[in-house]
Amino acid sequence: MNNLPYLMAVEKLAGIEVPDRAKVIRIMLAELFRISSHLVWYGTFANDVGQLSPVFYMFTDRERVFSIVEAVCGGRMHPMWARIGGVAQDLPKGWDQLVGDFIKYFPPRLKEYDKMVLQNRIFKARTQGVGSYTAEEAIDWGATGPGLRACGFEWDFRKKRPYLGYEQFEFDIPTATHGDCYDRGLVRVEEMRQSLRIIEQCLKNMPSGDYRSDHPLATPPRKERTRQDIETLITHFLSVAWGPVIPPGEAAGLVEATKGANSYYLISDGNTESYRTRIRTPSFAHLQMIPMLSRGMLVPDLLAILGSIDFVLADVDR
Amino acid sequence: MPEFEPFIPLTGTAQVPPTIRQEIERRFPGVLLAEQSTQDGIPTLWVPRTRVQEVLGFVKQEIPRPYRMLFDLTAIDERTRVHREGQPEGTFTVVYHLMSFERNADLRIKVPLEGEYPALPSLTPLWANANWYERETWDMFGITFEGHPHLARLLMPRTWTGHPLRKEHPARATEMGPFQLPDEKQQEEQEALKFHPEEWGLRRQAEDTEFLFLNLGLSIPVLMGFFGLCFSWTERSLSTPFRRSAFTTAVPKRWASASRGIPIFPTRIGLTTWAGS
Repeated sequence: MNNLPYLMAVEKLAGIEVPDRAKVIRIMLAELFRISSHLVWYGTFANDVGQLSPVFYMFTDRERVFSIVEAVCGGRMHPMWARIGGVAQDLPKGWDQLVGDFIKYFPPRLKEYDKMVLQNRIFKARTQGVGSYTAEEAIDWGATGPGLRACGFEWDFRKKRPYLGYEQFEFDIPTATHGDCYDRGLVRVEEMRQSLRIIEQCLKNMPSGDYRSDHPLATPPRKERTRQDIETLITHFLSVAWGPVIPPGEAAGLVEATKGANSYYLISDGNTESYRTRIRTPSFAHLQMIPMLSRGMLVPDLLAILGSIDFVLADVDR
Repeated sequence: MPEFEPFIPLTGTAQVPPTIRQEIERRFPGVLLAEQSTQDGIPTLWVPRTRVQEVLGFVKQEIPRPYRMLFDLTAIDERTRVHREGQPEGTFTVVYHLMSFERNADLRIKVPLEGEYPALPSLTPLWANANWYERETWDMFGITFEGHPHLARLLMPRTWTGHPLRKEHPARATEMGPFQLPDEKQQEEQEALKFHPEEWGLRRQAEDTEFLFLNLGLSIPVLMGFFGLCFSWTERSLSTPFRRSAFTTAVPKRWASASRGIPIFPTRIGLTTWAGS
């Protein structure tokens, strides 16, 4: 999902309109990745505050998400499947069966996890009232994503600035009120249910048509006509070897990633690679808040805070 | 919470009463050096180095429906760029990306800078999160932010020479000599890894304050690396005899775990800082 803002910026620079089918495939995979990311957080967060079992359940379910991702993309964690102007390939035969099975399988499991983790008294004691911040503080520190919504601030870029056609999907923005570790968790768990709703709508309404754009700058370039004339063959060869030449300009792409707002700011100088690429990640901003959140707390609270802000170091140092 | 408008990309039509450009110009006549058009439609305004603090203070604090979030802060090395039509001259540009939730709109403020190692005022008094963004920009570009409380390297090791995102910095292995690590160099690097809490603004608040280093990784969601935290702590609720043994107790939240024989007791954290990954 984190390569989407990059593609959105490139597509803005190149003026590429992505076909509907590619958009819905992207959304479906993005939501599957949101579920798998939240599952990792769910299990490890419970683990951080002393519950040793949940992580095994969550990682097992994550494998089910990965089996769908693997069937579609060929890879599991970082499938590199999105392309400028669309996706790498069309959906494979039987994808709908896999996705449909998961939509049936997952909600009862989430219910079970509610009992196992969220309703657990010790879990509540460790996380409620710990590491809380207000919406004002969140905005001042650049916090986005579930951490912002847990303060009662209903802000989700998928709703507020719909991209890829999110405005055509029915889903809610879960929020909570206290802005503490527990509420950040609540928001994420509810988000998984909302992601399932979106995936179900993708399954039922997958548009037909092309999975990639016909634009000359879309990658990989079309092969068919290269056998007809030499000019097309040369252009095709150059586009494959060097990549498309993107017109000069500046554009940013922004998505509601699993951990918050993820954005790419690209400057093209009229070349095959960007002159400057700036990656703005949510974890960088969130990790910076730790000293503020942990002051005056206990060491065990610090671990709950670290778990609850759900950061990944690759998302911090980029 | 105020009502939000649906997101309308700013197109400059007469319906949207006054544009952010007009609002800034009305308050600070003649402050804008240029307005740049971008493919993402985010208003991009150029402001001189000397005025940037007041302009950003204005759009954060004074303007109706303010731009409350410093969404991003970064820089561009402009020295080898070919296509800069209509943009003010300069060697480096610092970019502030602000966000207003009430307007559901973004604003990009750009500051042109002169010279090889330019400087401009720090934004840390205005936004708490400017701290790391400015450190990162200094680390990557060598741009100094005057008045920053702790302008030290954030991502690169402190022994690093140069600033990696400058265009003259080597980017390929063939542009640098072969990597060597003689004993003296290794010794020097090891020394540089030593963490001095005082350098980071951690101070002993009382006689019994101690500094604790906590290395975290792998078992928490930091699945891709380790990182260290350092904090000052004071033992308040536990008496000394317990200090020498690992123990558990029934008092809520008063549990301890032993690591390499050193018991870590629940403590009140005074100050925390981040030691890098």
